Parts: sequence; structure tokens; C-alpha cells
Amino acid sequence: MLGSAAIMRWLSVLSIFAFGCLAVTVGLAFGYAPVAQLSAGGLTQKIFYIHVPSAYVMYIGVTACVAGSVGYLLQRSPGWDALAQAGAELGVLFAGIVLVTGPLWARKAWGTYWTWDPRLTTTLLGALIFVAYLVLRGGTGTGEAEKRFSAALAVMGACVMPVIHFSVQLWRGQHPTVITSRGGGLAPQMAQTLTLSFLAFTLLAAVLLTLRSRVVLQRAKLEELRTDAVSRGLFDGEVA
Amino acid sequence: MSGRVLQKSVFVAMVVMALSATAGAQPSGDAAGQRSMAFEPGLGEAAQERVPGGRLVALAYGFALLAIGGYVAFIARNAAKLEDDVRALEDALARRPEGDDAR
Repeated sequence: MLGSAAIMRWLSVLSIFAFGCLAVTVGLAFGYAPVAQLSAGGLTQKIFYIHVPSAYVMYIGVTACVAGSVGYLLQRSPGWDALAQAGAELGVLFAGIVLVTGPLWARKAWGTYWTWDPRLTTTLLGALIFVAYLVLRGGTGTGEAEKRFSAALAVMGACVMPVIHFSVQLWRGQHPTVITSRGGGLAPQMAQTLTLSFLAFTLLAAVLLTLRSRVVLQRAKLEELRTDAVSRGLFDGEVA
Repeated sequence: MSGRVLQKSVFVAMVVMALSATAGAQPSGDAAGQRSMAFEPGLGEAAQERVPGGRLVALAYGFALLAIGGYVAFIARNAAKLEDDVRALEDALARRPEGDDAR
């Protein structure tokens, strides 16, 4: 079993709610929020409602990965390791969404898919660090040393996250700041749609993180059972 | 041992953060002010759009929803397979008590 029935029931309810909110967000983005001015991309500004929350979930994933990695380095518990791996996957998935949806929006707003703007460049760098983490986890086995090395990589790699976040305040470039105390702003319908989108993506992140952590833990349990079965001469280890 | 790994990791992370803070301390003018932008309704401007925005928006939403849906399907498939595998192994181990080595 992946967990107690009560937890799975809660997760099911949460995921239905999350996907419901996501569906309503898409509906509001196209049916309620107005088309923005041309300098913001016109119709493509609607990408904003998935682009920004995806970046936020990327931060959640990386934070979970770092928390899990630090926890693992201190306690060597499989639970922390599972959280770290699930967080890295979540971070990479949503960084991928950010890095695909952003250029599609930029094509219209800036006239080009990609520019080496500090925010774009640091986001790409951060995503590559956590791709390296996942490659390391997937390609080098499940030994203690590999887990420790991966955890150290995650802790070091996370230091690029503040650079991504503050890059728009530190360096000049094209990537706009909209939600800031120093200017910008959103029309009320746009702000309401974005708020719902943040709620949907937060719920989605919580569900995905919990489910994936449980799957990673279950895989660790399967490995233990296999070792046990082989030691008892049940089979040669290739079954299951 | 793991404590030392953590100490080293945190040390390296702090050095990198300090370096990036140094870079950030370079004169950048009012970068945030220069970048700030308000999104407002662009009334009547849609007719002037030269790059077809609809295709780009469809691609962005399609990719995002496919990526999320694909990951959910990947987790669900993994969970179902693992559950079956664990149950099969547990049953097999239960049928053969510890110390009962047939080989």
C-alpha cells in the first residue's frame, strides 16, 4: 500500500480540488481576464496565468529538495531522501514549463523566443543543476554514497535560487516585474485569475510532492524486500 | 561523516552566494524600476496584432497541461506497478519463512 487509506482519500480529494481549480483558472484566463495591452504581449499575456505559478512551484520543489537533502545528511532517513528526490523532480518539471511557456510569450512580447536576460539565464542554469541531480540519482544506483553526494549537490545547487529570484532587481534586462512594491500592477480581473491559479498550483504541488515521495519510499521498500528474498534463496533477484 | 558532507556543502553554498551577492552589488542603476510593468486591458488593440498570439497561447497551455498530466500518469503507473510488486514479494516471502532456504 502507498499509505493509509485516510491519507490516500485526502490526497484524492485534494487532487480533484486542484484540477478543478486549474480548470476554472483556464476558464477565467480566457473568459474573464481581459486581453492585455500589446506591449505586454496582447493575447499571449494569458500565458502569465500558468507561467508565474509554475515558477513559484519550481521554488517549492527546490525548497523541498534542499530540506530533504539537509534532513538526509543529518539523519540518513529514507523519508528525507524521498522528499529530496520528489522535490527535485517537481522543480525540474515546473522549471521546464517555465522555460517553455516563457519563450512562447516572449516571441510575441519581445519579438524573439530567447534572450540572455539574467532571469532567463539563471533559471536555465538552476534547472540544469537539478537535472544533473536527477541524472545522478537515476544513473548511479541507490547506495549510501550516491545519496549523500546527491544531497550535497542539491544543497549547493539551491544557492542559485535566490540569484534567480533577485536577478530582476539586481540587473537590467527585458524580463518585467509585475508583482512588486516598486511599480507594475494588474487589472483586478487579472489579479483574481492569478490568485486562483496560485491556489491551484499550490494544491497540485502538495499532491504531487506527497504522492511522488510515497512512490520513492515504496521503491526503497521493494529493494529491501528483494534483498531479503535473494538472501533467503527465493529467486535470483530478477523477479518483481 | 554525513555531518562533514553537510558542513562542506553549506560552506560551498555560502561562498557561491557571497560571490553572487558581490555581483549583485555592482552598479545596476534602478534595475527593478526599469523592469516594472503594469498589465492592463488593451482595448481594441487585438486587431493590430501581427504575430498570431492564439497559436503561441495554445502551445503554452497545451505543453503545460500535457507535462502536468504526463507526470501524474507517470506517478500513477509507477505506484500501481510498485504496489503489485511489493504485494507479490511479500506473499512470496510469507510463504517461505526465514531460514527455510531451499537452495
